[in-house]
Amino acid sequence: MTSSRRTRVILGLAAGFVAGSMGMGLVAGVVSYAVLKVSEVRLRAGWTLAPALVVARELEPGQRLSSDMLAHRDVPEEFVTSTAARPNLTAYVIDQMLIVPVHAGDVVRWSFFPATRGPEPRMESPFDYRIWEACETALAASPTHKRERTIEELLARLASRRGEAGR
Amino acid sequence: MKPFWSAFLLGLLLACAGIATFFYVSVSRRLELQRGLWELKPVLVLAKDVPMGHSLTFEDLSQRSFPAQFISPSMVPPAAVQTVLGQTVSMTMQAGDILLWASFADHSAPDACFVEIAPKVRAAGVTAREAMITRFGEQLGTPLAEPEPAAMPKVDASGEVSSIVVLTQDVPEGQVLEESMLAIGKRPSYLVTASSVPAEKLREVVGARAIVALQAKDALMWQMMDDAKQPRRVGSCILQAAPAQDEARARATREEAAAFVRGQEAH
Repeated sequence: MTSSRRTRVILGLAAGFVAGSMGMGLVAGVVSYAVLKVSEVRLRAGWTLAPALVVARELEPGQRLSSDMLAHRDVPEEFVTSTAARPNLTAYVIDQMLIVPVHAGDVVRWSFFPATRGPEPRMESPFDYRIWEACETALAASPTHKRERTIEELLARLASRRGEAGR
Repeated sequence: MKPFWSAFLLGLLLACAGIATFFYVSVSRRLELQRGLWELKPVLVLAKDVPMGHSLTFEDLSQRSFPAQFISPSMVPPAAVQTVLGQTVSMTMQAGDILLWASFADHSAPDACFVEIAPKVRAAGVTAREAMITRFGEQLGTPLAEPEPAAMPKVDASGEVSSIVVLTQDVPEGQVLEESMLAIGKRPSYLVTASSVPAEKLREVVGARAIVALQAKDALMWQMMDDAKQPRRVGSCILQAAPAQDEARARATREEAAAFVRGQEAH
């Protein structure tokens, strides 16, 4: 093979590679996007999503919620019941003390906070929740008080209670 | 030119094959990931409203499936139904709520602490508030002096504009007014009443205490202020009583919670 012929072959190969990469890349990109979109639409069919306020990372009881611990996410509308805190009420959730362990992605529920957990203990003034929080904090600092900090610890208690009931 | 075009075609084919393989593999992986996210996983949900303190029965529960991407380890799977049956829920839940492990969190100790110390904390707050109100009443003296009737601000020559005292900046509740916070502003006469402070009284209100929060450009009114040295308005009484009550409650909360924990540790 002469030198000029070899140069032409290399040039042709390179030009073909570049042209093929660009052309096929464009076509494949469009096709891939379409395939993924169609697949997503098909998988999402039947699910109506609604915006919700969710926990951004795993948290323990006793922690006070700040904006970096929360996120907005679309979830199946069945998750957003009246016990869920709506995203437009985020301001009411900020700085509240969590009383249960939660995982990332959990929809924030009013029952996660002392004042809105339920009718008992009866909070007579809007500031009474601070008494509950002070109790929680004082007990957490006590070496004799065993507070469940994770779902796993909570599960262990439930399992042992079930074992006791079975005996 | 023939070798060039043969090589061009070869390069084209190689590139197409490489790109197609790359996209096929990555799209397949994305599709698999997508299917995994939307794969249905069952969880337990409440079939009816459940009050706090209720012991769960089989009839209270049902099962629903949701895409895996929305399921978290906090949710109770159907496989764990035996673990939760008969357990007492520690929060109020409604029909349709997903059953969470957190629903069984044990709050008995802080609840007991709250029930024991809340009445003491409330009583401490009320005592402090009433003591402050009594002291305020004693400072007022009897009989109360009759307030001077407020003079109507004068109207200018045109008969449409009055000069009154206005705020130059935001003033928080309880702040003593300084001269730099006040200015003379003009307002249409139909907006000016005897409550407005006439321009010529500006120096008289320097040193008064704002008993409500004021904003820049607000027209100052007599009922928004009180004498800082000899207060006599209900707003001033509240300004003194509320912090005293808050402080007493905060102190009692700290002390009583600590006392409760000490009692628990002693047992």
